[in-house]
Amino acid sequence: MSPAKFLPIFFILFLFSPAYGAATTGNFSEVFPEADSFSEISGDPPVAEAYSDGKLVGYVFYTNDIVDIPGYSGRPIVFLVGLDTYGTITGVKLIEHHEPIMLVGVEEERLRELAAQLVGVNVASKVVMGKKEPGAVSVDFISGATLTGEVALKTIMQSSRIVAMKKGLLVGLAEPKTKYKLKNFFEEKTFEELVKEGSLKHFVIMPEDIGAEAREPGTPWMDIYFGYVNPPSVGRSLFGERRYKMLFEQFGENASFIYIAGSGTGSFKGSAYVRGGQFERVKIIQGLRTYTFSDRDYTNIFDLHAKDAPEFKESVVFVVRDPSFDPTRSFTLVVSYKDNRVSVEYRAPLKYFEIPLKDRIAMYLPSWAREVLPRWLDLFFPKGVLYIILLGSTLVLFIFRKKLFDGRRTFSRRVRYVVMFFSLVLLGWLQPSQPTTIQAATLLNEIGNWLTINVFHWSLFFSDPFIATVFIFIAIVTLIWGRGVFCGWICPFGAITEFLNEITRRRYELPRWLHERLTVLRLMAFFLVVWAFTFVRDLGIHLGEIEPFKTAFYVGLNRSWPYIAYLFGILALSMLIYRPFCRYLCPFGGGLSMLSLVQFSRIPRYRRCGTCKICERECPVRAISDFGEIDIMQCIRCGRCEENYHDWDRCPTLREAEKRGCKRSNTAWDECIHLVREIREKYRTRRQKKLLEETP
Amino acid sequence: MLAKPKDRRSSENEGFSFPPLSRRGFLMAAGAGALMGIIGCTQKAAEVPVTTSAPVKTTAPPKYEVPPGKWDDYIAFWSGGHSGEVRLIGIPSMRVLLRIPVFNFDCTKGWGVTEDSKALLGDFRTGDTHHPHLSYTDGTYDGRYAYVQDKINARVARIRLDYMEPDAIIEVPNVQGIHGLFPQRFPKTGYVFCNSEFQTPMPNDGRDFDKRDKYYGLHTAIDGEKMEVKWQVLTDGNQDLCATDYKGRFSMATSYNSEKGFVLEEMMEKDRDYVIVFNTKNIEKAIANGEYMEIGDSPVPVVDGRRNSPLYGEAVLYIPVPKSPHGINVTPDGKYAIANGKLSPTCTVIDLDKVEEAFAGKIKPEETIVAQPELGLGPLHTQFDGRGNAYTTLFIDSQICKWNIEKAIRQYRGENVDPIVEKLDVHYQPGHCQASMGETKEADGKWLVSLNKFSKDRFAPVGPLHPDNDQLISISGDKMVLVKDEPVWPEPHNCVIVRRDIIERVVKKIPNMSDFPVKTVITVKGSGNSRYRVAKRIYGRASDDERVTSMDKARVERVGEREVHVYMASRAPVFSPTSFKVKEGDKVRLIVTNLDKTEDLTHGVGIPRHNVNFIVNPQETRVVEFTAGLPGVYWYYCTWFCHALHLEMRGRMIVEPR
Repeated sequence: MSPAKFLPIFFILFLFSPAYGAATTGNFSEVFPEADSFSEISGDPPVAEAYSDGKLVGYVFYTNDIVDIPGYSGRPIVFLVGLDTYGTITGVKLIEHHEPIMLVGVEEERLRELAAQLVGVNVASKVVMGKKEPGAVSVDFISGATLTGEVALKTIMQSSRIVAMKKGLLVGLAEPKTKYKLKNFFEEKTFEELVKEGSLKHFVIMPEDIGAEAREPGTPWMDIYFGYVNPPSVGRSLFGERRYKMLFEQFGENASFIYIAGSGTGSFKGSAYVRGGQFERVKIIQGLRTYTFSDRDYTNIFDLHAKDAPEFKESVVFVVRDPSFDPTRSFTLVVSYKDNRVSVEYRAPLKYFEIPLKDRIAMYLPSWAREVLPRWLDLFFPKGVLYIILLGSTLVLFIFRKKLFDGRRTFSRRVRYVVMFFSLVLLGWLQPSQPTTIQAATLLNEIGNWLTINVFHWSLFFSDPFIATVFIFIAIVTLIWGRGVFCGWICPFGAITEFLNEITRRRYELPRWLHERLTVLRLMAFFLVVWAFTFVRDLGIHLGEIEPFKTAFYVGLNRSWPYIAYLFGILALSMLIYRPFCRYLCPFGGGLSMLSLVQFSRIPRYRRCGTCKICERECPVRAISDFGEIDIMQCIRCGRCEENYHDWDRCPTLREAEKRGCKRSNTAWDECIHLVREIREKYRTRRQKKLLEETP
Repeated sequence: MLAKPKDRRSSENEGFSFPPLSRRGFLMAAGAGALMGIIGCTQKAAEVPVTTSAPVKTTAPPKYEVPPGKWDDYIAFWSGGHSGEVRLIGIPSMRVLLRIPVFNFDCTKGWGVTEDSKALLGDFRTGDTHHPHLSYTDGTYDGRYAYVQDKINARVARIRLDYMEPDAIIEVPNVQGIHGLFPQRFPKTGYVFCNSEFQTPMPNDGRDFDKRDKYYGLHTAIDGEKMEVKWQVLTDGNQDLCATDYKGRFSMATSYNSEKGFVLEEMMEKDRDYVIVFNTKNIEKAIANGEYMEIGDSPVPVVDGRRNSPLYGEAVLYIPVPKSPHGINVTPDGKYAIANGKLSPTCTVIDLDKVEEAFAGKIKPEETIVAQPELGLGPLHTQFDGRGNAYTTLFIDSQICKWNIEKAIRQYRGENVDPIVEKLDVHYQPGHCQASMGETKEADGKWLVSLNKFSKDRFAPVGPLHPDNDQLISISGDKMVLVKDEPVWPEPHNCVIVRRDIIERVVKKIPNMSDFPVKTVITVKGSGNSRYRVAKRIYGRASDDERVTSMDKARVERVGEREVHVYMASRAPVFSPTSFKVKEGDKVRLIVTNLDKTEDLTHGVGIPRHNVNFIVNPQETRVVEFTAGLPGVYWYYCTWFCHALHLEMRGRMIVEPR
């Protein structure tokens, strides 16, 4: 398996490798001021790469190289667009247009202003024209040139999205379609029945709803019925068999047909399509995609077969040929007139579709989940099951650990070694999913995006089921028991180093002062990698190599010698020092250490723990201070001190308590007041506190 | 005065037996010149209720108005007659939707201006279209082609229905006056049959011009897909209208001049004429066996179908009918062919299965006749509503006669029934009538159009020339209701009324760029009146070098001392190039591609003083050739309104002195 497949971030890595010479500048820098050099336009999609200090920061392209959306003139409006590697538009410049409206009336400046409003907009954002809409970026509408404005907007956003998608900047935009088949059955329905069952949706637009002049008071601007008419029971009932079949002959078997019919003083057809070929008053929006219609994508149908159908002034079948349209999902019909819009949500009755169970489930999931679902399902067996067993049993072990200890000192050694062994096999080699700081940095960046521009690429995060699972696991266990559950039990690299150490059983320790200073190194490494990744991405990626995980698990030994030497150096060191990488270098562990500070379930300590040195001596990572406190940031939750804590034979506090009359039992800590008094105040549970209060 | 048709008696004439023919003596007495007027005065039809055109109150008047923005249910193909064109007319509104120039010169389209149309037209610019018919599959229209004949120059053209323009024209050898034309209905077209109305000496090279018995007519079978003449059949007597059956067995011709007369009196000598039936399979067999001849230097095999030929009764059958039959029409159920009497007040109903028996020698030709109802004066053409009724135009009576076919058969058998249902006055003198889908097995009995030759006082006066009057009649109810008068530019002869979806399904909104420029392949064999010329357009053979694929690829290439090729592109509202230079007397080949992709965005190109005016539809490429005139500047301009800046859409052709 190639690394790129399971870690989208590697895409970016590869993008850095080719070093292009700077070529055309001038024009390009107008839309990408941050870049200092540009490559020639080349490749698919044809774009120029923008560099700043020799590293790729984005792309510049002409919209007509990417999309061909005819404007009112029948010819495309051409913009030069700059797009950074985050999918944010850095600049837009109007290059060429032939819009007659612009030539004779409305100033061209309006078109430039429209384009300028898109600078700083992320391609993942929903952009609307005119009225503001929650959750969408709104740009001003060009009065008197609606169609031109719409085409300009569509040209810029669509081309940017295509570039972003093809360049791997946005995994989340590729919304997968539901796999469906139209059921073949036909049942003759009346017009009324079709409306009733929801195949046709009825709504009325009054002149005031859409800002039109009320020519006849009380008469609707348009009284509209619309719906998806591909199902035979809908289409054939409406149009009759001959006309229904003709639709497919004319427009192809795979087209989706949207019937819109209406009467009133207004018109949803408008007249822009006559000369410009584009309908400017109706469009369909599904998710982030907008489907507009040209004069090649429609046909009038007047003679309805359904006898009870009303007489319509306009009666049109619009054709959606774009295969991304998914009729099983809801979509919105938008009727616009000047700068006003009326949107109506529609969903075809699902009874007409044959949908496999997998897709049926997916339909109720958000789009990002639908995108990643197939991969999750594909990998579910057997690897996914093994993951669930491994991570699940670890969770169970921790939840019921008190009962499991019960005097048997096997938890910290044998049980943990078994879990570590399986983790190493599974997360290390069978399905490499050792979490890395780069992944953590990506996640942090995403969270940053989410907080600032309200964009979170769920599908990016969930694209690799195993890494996502491990991250979720980490999030849960770290908040409850601290990062040690991951570092000490699940981390495959930690496991290697511990096993190697177990072979030699040599544990040289650094002097205490040096040890304490070196532990800060991990934290610094973490901040450095995250900072670099965010602001100087390629440096960040190189710094990420502090972790030899790539060499150890992902890529393997087929790398240049310094990486291999580094890995083996650490492994060799592990044979002399207990987990040296984990304790002093690991940036990922460092990051998790900080997260550990908020853990809920800490290992409790007795008053006497400072004086008794058993645990302090036994702690393999020397996380217990002279005062008996455990350094949460160091603790790998091996469980030795926790076992001691519960060991009636070993722990002096327990022996003392027994003498005072506490009985050896699992519940002694909640029942025996002598024992409870010995527990340091901050570790006492609510129950223990209550016992203390109740006891005089 | 009129004998009952059931009083059959035998006739010794040429061994055939005939039903009584009462009109003939009268006609001969009346003399040809005053024929119609006298008959008109003396007409005494049977006591049949005559529906006048006064509004009928009994039922709601049928809706023929098509509201603004709505479409007609039918698209009819009308012949243009003298204009040489074909027209597309919406039914029931009768609005003219399109005119397709075929055999004529037309400036709107540039037909006869562009190189490809000139190649198709050949030497002639006059045409006389009568009978447009569409290609069939299994007895109904399949939307591939329309065919139309040119009576003047004996040509047959094919129209591609997707582009609605002619894509082939054939000059049929050795014939004159191609009148009847009908495509094979089953299993599909297949053959397109056409009849020669005017007999000529064979070959017509100056020989035998004074020998009446050396004059013949030829029934021609054209392969409607490959557009080539497959074979011809030589017959005694002329051939007028044409029909085919619904089983792919026969083609038929009415013959009104079996006397081979040169002048009217000679043509009226005999008592009776014929319906000639051609047996397709047997003719093919004869040709396969080498039983054919060639006439002049035409390469087309000709089978001898004369009465003294050994193939008589095998390849052709002569069914005797009353004098001077005109139209021949086959019922939608495929059972009967109906020959219209013209000079006889009757229609002759021929059972087509019996015709097969007659070919097998089991019965005599005249025994194929199963009815001969007397309908009125001057029956010319008959149509059908798919409900067992026939509608026959009565030229002299100026009426449509609705009659029941089965009742007519029963009457002929001797039962006392009256087949006539109703008569309706039309204005005036109907020739053809045509029912919606009436020439197919899907005849739906909604509308009937009566194509009247005279309009006289039906419209506001506009001078001595009157339009023809095509009248729309609703036949969906029990009674015929006249709903509309439509003045038409003379002279449509016939039309076919086609359900809209058949056309809608096939027509292109925007041409494919790669189909143009079309190439024309011309094959000429034989010479003089035996010349056989086929011009066929081939679409989609040109490469991108032969058209202009983008505005910046427009170019001017000098290919010789006296020849310049100008590759021009148009895109509203500009031409590219905006000017070009040629030298006086240069042969200029102008190739114009319309790069607009919008439906209905056609451009035109006109060049002053160079006889150039033609159009280019979106994505099309058209080519014209002309000789550059006197030195000077000539503004070429868009002649087809295309844009708000249409008037600015022009450029300069600069002709430099040589």
